[in-house]
Amino acid sequence: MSASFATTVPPRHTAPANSRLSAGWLLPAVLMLALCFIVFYPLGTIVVRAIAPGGAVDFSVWENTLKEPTLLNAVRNTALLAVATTCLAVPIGVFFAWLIERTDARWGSLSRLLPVIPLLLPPVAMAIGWLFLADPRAGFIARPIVAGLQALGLPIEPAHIAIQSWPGMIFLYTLWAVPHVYVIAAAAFSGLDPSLEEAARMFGKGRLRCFIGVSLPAIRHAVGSAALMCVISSIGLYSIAALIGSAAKIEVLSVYIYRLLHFAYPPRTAEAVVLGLLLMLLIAAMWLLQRRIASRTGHAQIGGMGVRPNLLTLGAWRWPARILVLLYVLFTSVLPLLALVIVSLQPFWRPQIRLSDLSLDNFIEFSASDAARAGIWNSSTLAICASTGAVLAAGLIAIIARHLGGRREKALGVITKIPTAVPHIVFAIGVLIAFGFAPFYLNGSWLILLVAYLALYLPTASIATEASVQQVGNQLTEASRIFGASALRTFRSVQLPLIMPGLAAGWASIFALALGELNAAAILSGPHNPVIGYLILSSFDNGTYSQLAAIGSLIGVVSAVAVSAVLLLGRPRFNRSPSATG
Amino acid sequence: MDILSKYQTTRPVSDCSVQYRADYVIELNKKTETSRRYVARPNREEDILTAATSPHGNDTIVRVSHLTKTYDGGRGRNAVLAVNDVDLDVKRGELVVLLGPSGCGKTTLLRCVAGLEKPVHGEIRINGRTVYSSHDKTYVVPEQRRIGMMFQSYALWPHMTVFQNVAYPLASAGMDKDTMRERVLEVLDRLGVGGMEQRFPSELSGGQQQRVALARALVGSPSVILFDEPLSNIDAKVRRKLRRELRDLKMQTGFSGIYVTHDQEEAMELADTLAVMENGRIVQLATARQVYEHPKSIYVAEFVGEINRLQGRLESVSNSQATVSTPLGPLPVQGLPATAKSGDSGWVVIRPESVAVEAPHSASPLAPEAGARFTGTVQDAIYFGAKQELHLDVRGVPITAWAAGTAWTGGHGDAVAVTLPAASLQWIPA
Repeated sequence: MSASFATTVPPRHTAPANSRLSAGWLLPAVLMLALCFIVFYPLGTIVVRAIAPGGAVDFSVWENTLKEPTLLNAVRNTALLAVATTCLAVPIGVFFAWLIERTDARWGSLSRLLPVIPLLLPPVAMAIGWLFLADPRAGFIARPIVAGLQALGLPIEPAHIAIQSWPGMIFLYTLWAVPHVYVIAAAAFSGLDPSLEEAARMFGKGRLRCFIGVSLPAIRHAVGSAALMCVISSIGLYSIAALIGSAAKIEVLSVYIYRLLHFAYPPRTAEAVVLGLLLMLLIAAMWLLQRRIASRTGHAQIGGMGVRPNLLTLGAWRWPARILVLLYVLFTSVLPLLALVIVSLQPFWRPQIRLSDLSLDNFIEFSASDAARAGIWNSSTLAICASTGAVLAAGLIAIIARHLGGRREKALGVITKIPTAVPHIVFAIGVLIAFGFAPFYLNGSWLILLVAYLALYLPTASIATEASVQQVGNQLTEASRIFGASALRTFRSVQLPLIMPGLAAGWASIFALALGELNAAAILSGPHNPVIGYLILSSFDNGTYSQLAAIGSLIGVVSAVAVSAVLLLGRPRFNRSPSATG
Repeated sequence: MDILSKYQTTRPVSDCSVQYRADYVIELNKKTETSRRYVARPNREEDILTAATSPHGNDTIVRVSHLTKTYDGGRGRNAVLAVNDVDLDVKRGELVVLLGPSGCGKTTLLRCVAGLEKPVHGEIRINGRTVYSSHDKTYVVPEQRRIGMMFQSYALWPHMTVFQNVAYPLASAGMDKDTMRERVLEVLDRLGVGGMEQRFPSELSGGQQQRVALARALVGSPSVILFDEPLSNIDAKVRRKLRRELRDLKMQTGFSGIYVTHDQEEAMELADTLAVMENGRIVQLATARQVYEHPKSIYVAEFVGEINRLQGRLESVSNSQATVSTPLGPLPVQGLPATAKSGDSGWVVIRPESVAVEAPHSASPLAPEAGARFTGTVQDAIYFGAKQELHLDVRGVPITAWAAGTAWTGGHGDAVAVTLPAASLQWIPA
């Protein structure tokens, strides 16, 4: 009797804690190794190839690279853009986060998603939309303004208010960067102990002084990392720079690197690699500096009880604040998408809208093209695979990290964030030289894009899943163990259902980001493995704006639908009453 | 024979016990010596079947011996000694309350028993089975310990209905669906949350959530239930009510348990045995009455209830009686330990309710051996309804006295006769 039991039950049940998970460790260990490989191998390759291109240390390429006269111009432009974008986007994003998370400007939980809506529209679609809106000669908004001013007798030169200019570039970069800042700042604000602010109000500080004097310093570590993130992504952003910057004759580093690889024959890969390494070093230095500052200033206390904080009442400022947020959504999403849809229905881009002209011809023509179909297919499958893979991996890592606790948890958290510290375009170079040629020969394939996307979106997935894993209180999982459930059953019936909404949100945002991705795709995609980003670039180069609009509006609509569906399905069904505890 | 009849009457319990038994048998085949010891115990059936039903009996359900737990203090800091060589026994049907301020190690001790923390030294036996032993390198994971627990936050799973929450321990034990349903509904009914099984925890009031959490802890008829400050999140009035209910339930079902709290009123209401903890050690282990009336140290005296203390020195010790020189002058004390001798320093303590306060003219004469009487001044009188608290100044020494709410109608600055009866004065050595 006893013998038969012994053979049917796995032995790990009563083994000591240390070896208890030994069988269950295999899959996570393999996964972790695979992830480390696709994250670190490309980066390592960049370092090795930049320092020792032919197998021996050789700095002659460095000389060639740095001697290039146009490089200085590109560096200067990039620095200016990154600084300007950060200076504008960080205050705006943090302010929005404060309005939505800490004041009664929020209405319903849906308003927390408002500033994130622009993330649904890929930057390339937003840039094109704004081109249609604000081109001084044919823009839907700019043209009437120019005409009106001229009618008033002001001698205005259309080129002076063009979107294809420094202010236009900074404007678009800022619109694009705000939601990224918002996400970081909102997370910090929502964890902030409300009594800090209440105390400040009690001692007679005004609303704005309360924001500047108390709330802001309390989340300064988040503001610091948001600023750093803003600088890094501005350097790595390709789409807006390629579309608007080239028209404005403003060359930035990302475009410069792209040209080294695509506009030269043979491709000047070695120089691109050197630039990539330099950027990595620069960002690593900034990252260390930021961590140093953050660790010295300490973190805000996070309140222990799960009570809904009292929101600060804005009084008469409530509606102006809400209107501000709505205007932002209008500028970043609604207007550009509207412009895209209108142009896509026109036979060619013109500022007058005639109902009789509108037709679906562009879409029909577009769907007849093989390249277009391949691009859409590639992008959709890539978006699905990358988001699913990244979220599953990140979820597993977050749970394991939670299980390990302490320093190992921190280390895992840092490893999964490393791709954030590398501009997408640089990482793409790494992937290209690491996997593109011997021994992998993945250049021009669908798989190389997937590898790049998995690594690039790992941080996004990891942030989303870590937050939700941490929200599942320790006591909930401990209770499951106490009541007789194994680690596996605890995961299946307690942890997984509870982190599902977080996973769904992470999945949705990665799907939307990957669908219109044009930073890594600019380097890795080509005629053999077209993605939507590639199609947009080639339409732009060919000047077929109506086609461009058709693709842009398609991405906008598809990602909006997909993301809304996932968020609705992943919504926690148990949160019916607002006073949820336990 | 007796065993057999119990087996039949408590079917649901026995069903899950059979499942647990399988675990024990597996253990037998494992190399752990301790489990062999367990199976060799002659009364094991009785252990399993009557764990939650027999209210009396002298056998020990939980035995903690020489338990030590340290925490890594982090980089550059020393390890923190959270539990320091603690011995503790919980008998069948006994509720032991661990009482102490935050950081005294009470929660850590509880979590060690639960298996959520791994001690560094000592031994823990639950129901005769060694679940942790530093000597044998035994560590049984929480899910194998057959315990119930009520968490501070209740830890009800928000995505499961009340039924699913309460059925969870039974499902883990592999009980069949029909028996499980019957058992869960019965427990919910008994705890006054019947008919709510399809609701989600977020749709329940705090009190209902607490009952569901208790139902989940009880449903599997565990050998012991652990309570981790389960009442600390609710407001005072509900807390009193729930405490009352917990006490009733304890009398009904006679579960054995360990209960952690920092609220001494709660501790005294619930405890069969009170364990007062300080810095990782149990400093006094006795009934609530004994702890209150005969605190072992000044720490216990001050933590459990309120007390007046006067620093002093023993003089003229004879027949376990003595006079103590205090700031108020010489005071008589009785019931000294045999080791007490002249010259020892310590405290004379007296509970506020033992201090008698009267108007100076109405005080009846007092024999010298009956106690000491002083004239004092009322500094403040706080009215609580049933009682009032008087803060007195007696020869420059602050004394607190409790009088019946109706007994005294004076106010600030009144002169009063303050009597410290000899029978209520106690000596606590330093």
